[in-house]
Amino acid sequence: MAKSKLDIGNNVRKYRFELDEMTQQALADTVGVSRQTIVAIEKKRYSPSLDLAFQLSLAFGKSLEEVFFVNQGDSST
Amino acid sequence: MDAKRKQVLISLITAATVGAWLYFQLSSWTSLSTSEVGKLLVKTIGISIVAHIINTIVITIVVGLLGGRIAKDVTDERDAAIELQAMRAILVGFSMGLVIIFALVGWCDLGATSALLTIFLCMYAANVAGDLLKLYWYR
Repeated sequence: MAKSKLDIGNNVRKYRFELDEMTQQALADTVGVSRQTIVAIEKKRYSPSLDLAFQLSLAFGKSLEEVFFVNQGDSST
Repeated sequence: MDAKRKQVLISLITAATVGAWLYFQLSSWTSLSTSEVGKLLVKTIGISIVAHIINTIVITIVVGLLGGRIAKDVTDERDAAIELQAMRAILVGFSMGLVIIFALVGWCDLGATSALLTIFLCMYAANVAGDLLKLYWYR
């Protein structure tokens, strides 16, 4: 079965700003990762584990689907 | 500067220091016996450990004096993945080098002394390449 890479997008940057313009460092400290990891997630250079994805959505008080989503149009499935 | 980049920078400076030391020691390597090369390589490992400790202290002091702040060292899942990928790259590079050296020993009559040195240099090169990859992936 051919595997295709999903184009996973996120609203981390958007929700961070909605949350009193929370800094990347503050979010990193909240979820227990480095600031570079938050930068990489926002720039879509790194897809977090399910555990970290849930921690981020809990930090924003949103559901996982609101924070992370699949760009259906762009994915080559 | 974050702690991870600092560690890689120290590792690269140590590699440069050890490389320079080894270069001067090996200026007349053709006249060295296998046992002398063995002793030299053991000494090199010792020197690299000492150089790493000294470089860590010096870089920490220099960064402090320049007013730079080292961010808290947090090792997360991405760092672990980068470490693992770099380790894999080092292993692949070293293994390929090792196979080439064995082939050279088998078919091109590469001497034991030269083989020993080339294996060490191969390990050194793979390590430097791994550090550079880490630096790239940490960006």
